[in-house]
Amino acid sequence: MPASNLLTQLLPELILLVGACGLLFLGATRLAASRSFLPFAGVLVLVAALVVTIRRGEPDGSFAAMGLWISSLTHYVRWVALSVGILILLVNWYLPVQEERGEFVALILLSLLGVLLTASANDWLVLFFAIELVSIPTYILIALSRLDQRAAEASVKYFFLGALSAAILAFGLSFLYGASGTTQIQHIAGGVISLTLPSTGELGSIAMIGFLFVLAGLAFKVAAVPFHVYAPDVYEGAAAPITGMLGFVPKLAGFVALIKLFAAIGWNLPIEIKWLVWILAAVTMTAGNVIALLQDNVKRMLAYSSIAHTGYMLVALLIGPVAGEGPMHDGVAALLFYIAVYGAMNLGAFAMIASFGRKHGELETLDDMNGIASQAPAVALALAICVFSLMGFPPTAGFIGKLYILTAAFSFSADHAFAQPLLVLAIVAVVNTVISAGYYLRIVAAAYVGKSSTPANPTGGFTLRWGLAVCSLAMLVLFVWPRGLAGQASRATAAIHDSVSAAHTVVRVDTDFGNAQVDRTSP
Amino acid sequence: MLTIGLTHYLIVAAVLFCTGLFTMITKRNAIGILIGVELVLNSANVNLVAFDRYLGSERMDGQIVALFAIVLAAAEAALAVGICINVYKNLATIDVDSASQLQG
Amino acid sequence: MQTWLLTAIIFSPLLGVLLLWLPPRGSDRSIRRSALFYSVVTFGLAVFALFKFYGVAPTDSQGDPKYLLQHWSYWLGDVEVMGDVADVEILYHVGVDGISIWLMVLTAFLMPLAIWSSFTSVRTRVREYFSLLLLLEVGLLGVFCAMDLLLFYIFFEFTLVPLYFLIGIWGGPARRKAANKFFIFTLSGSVFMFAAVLFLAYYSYSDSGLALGYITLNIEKLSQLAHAGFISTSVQWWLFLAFAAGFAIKVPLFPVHTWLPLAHTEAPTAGSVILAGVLLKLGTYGFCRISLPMFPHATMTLAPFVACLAIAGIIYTALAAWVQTDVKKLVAYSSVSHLGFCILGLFSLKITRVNGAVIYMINHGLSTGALFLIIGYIYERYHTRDINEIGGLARKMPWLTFFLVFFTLSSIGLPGLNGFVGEFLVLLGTATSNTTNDLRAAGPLGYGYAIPAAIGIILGAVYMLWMCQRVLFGPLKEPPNTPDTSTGLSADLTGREIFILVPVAVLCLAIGVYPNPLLDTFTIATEQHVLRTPASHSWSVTEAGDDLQEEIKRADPMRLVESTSVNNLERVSVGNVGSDDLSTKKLGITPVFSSYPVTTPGMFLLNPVTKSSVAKTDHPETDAMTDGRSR
Repeated sequence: MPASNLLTQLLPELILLVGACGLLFLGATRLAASRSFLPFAGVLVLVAALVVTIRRGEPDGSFAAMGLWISSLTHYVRWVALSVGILILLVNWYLPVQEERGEFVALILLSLLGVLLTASANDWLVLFFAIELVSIPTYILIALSRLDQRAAEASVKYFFLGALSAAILAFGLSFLYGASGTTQIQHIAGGVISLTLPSTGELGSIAMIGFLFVLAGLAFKVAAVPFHVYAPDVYEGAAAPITGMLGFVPKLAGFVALIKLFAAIGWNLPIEIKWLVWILAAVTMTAGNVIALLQDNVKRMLAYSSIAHTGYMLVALLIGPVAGEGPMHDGVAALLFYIAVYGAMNLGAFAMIASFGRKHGELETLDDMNGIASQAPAVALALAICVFSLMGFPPTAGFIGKLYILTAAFSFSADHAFAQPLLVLAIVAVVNTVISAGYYLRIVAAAYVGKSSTPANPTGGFTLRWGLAVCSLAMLVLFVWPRGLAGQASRATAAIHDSVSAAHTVVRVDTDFGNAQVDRTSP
Repeated sequence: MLTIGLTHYLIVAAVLFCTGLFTMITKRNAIGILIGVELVLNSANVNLVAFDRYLGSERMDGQIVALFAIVLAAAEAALAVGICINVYKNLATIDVDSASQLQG
Repeated sequence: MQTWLLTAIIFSPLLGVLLLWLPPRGSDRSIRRSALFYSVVTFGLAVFALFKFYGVAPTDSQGDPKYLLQHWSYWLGDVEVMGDVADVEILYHVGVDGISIWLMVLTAFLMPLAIWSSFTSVRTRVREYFSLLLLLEVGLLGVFCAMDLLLFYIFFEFTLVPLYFLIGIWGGPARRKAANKFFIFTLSGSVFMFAAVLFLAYYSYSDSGLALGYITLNIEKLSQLAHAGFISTSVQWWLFLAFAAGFAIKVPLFPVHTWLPLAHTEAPTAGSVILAGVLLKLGTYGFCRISLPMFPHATMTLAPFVACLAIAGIIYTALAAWVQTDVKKLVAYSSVSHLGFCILGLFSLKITRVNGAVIYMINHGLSTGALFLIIGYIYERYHTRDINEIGGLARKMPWLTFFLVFFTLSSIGLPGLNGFVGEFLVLLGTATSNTTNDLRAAGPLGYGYAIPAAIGIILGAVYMLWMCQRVLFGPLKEPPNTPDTSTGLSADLTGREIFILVPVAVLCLAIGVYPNPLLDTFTIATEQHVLRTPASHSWSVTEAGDDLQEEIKRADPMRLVESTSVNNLERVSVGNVGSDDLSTKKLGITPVFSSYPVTTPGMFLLNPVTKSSVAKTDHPETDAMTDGRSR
């Protein structure tokens, strides 16, 4: 493989890496004194990477080397991560103090690099490291975002639970390696890497253990119940712009990894796993929405809403690409669409919270949010659009996202084994939409209907507001024209479809522990 | 004579995993929790090397992954210590139970 | 053929909102006037559309008599396009027929009146207030014009948002609770509707359903397929219930009506006018446009149950209205009562009684809207709506007295005014619903339902007249320091307020005296779209041939609609009835149920989705007959 080919294929990632290192370096110079220079440089790096991605066009999926596979999924994730990354930088522009500015921006870039690598990964090791690359900068970013006790506490909690999840992930990956005999996730050029036993065609016990542990580790990352316990505390402790990033970047990485995990077994989930994910999705949605109703702190409320959205996305993941093509049949395309839209609307909501401060540096409780609409109608309108989008209410892109997921859930033919439970799950999702309206309305009502005598201090500068404006405009634009994004999402899952194939096995491990004999058949 | 097979190594790894998990849950000292994390990571390493040893000849993938995992564990340990220092600066202790402002 | 007219009508209030926000700090006066101007422009466009609609009237064989003024563009269609039918056929598709055009004109008519009436009552955050009203108008116009189920749902839901803010910000003391209850209650019903819509999308695609091979949510297409018997009865039941969950809360039907009195009392005047005048019609319109055509079997079977709920609602809310002391709450309960009538008429499933229900919708919109306007005027002057505190206003406010009595009588159903037409037709329809003496198939209701409904009318007269008597006549009673003329009001109605009420009164009188133009339009629309074929107790699903399925599959919605035009239509003159004559040789189509009599001139046989392999039921019509139209 000529080195130049690898470099050109990975050019966006390389730009991010070089940019991050350069910013680390620049952060120690006098240029860091200017508030805008380093974040601006960061935005330039992201724009450069995005331009390269656009210029290269959609990859045909033929480049697979060194544990990487550049496919349409990579292209989609590059697009989404880089665009929302630019918005994240815009929103986080004002946050770091001078001494930490370089590290701050560089860490954001490194985290995004991790997401890009997750999408290109075709090797468990690369995937594991990419996920770690996503998470580790976030541990530091939380501590850097606010210099107070709560941020330090949030950082500690997030770190230890994140490290535990990484360790569980590694443990699971070791079993998957043992079951398939290779660290490669999917075979590209013919043949297959199969985790199933030759005798029964199902997952053996080692593969099953591996699968479950990897699922648990990734469930931490996406904040599914019961691995969600860190989320409210961490979201409340970090500053709002960083929370906006936290709600999107690890989730995107986690879901892409989950897609790859499920693709590794060809989306033939054993029925137990299907029920497990079903329960996970249902409980996550419901618990997230119900507990959010009890909250008074807006950030905690949005954190629980974040958990609930993970539930909706798990529904889409469970549906899988089995029912057809296009986001109205294909669960994975619906998932990819939803997560892109979710990133923007979540970021918008947190950006709005960051743009005013009353008692603290930002709007913390519902009482803080009273009367914002009279003071800043445009910001309040942007908040309303983002919140209604989170609720899944027309005419916003969140509605389209929910539409895709629900239609895909209905898309199974009646004789499919899991069609009925999916129908029930869709009804649960629908009921959860109503429950979520209960607390989302409170946020909007506080801003519009509530009255407050003290004015709120605007914070954050104009880039924050621009980022907020772009997020809410994107909601409206994607409602009127979802086809662009939806088409890209369905092309991205074409890569997944191709991996669902049968054929030879590479290495097998027999079922019981007592008889760990190797049974090797050559391809 | 007891033949040590793959199963034994897997059990050792599982014991390590549980120990690490238990340590993480019960320790109050932040460094103690870090030790727990290291234990869990090392259980994965044991697994990887064991699969390499017992599943066919001349296989190196697992050992390579184990090496990388060790590097990652070291990096995370450095990071953990940094975060503990930050906590100490803010709360004057590294007892994680005292970090309880964010509830629920 | 497409025309931009409907899209322009639907979105011109949106343009108005944008223009309203353009000047940085306009004065309140200019804001009010601009808002009024934009809504009047919308009304003008709507009247223009009305003329165009009648210009391309069913008598004109050039036009497409089914849905006029259409406009469609691909929206959620998938990227791949198979032939000229997209894989996913969810379009932005608007069009009107006889029923929707009049409801749309009603909306466009009431909105300028509502805006004009808020000139003196809204003093704070004026710009947001009027922009919310205009946004609400966008949603309402969109619902009535939508021809695609998803678009219908989107506009249906969207109306919740502006109204939530209107009630929550400018409402009465308990406004937050009222707004929350309104929003959450209505939303919980409509999400089930959403699930049903998506299920229909899947159903249209799947092989166990309609097997079209692509997803479609076109209302017209689905209704035709439903009437040809393609939607299985069990599916119909569930879908009917799901849609009914959404519509019943909106109507509101008896047990789930509790949000309405609260919302009405706490809403500002314009909000109440639009809420009562138009928003409640969304529910009945939804039944009429979606539930009746698409789920005929379920409708037929469940109609008695729905009618019982409607009657229970009529009586219960009438009794509740009787004991109210708050005038607005009284009228709100009377609103629920009247809409129970409307539902009763709809579910009687007789063609010309359903059109009675439709005209009832229009009448109710006009008269109740006007009643809320008047109550608003009283409230602005006296800052109370309590019957115990105000009385004998006739001495000071003769104009108000005139209008209040007029609209009360209209609401009660005095012959000569519009209410009577609707009430009479509904009662007649309910009573004669299960008879076949006009040789149409029997509906589900009967005299047993009509008698309690008639009692409801009597109760309605009782409490409304009692309210009038207490408020208007008798000794003069005013709270201290009133009437409040601080905002430019006078003791009696000002010229502006009179001018608002006069057009409504004129319309009420006109419809009451000469309802025929409306009724004719509604009859055609009802026959074509709502009932299509008479619901029959002896429902027999005939097996249409495979080529029928193929034709439906290949048809794109426009072509399906166009297939009803020119070459398939023929005037059938009196005496030429019976399916033998309307033979396949002549027209290429036969009715699915030959008990569908096509009789008088000016009516068209419109059932293009049928082929020759249909069963004939045993209703031989050989004689010319008149249908029961109120001619």
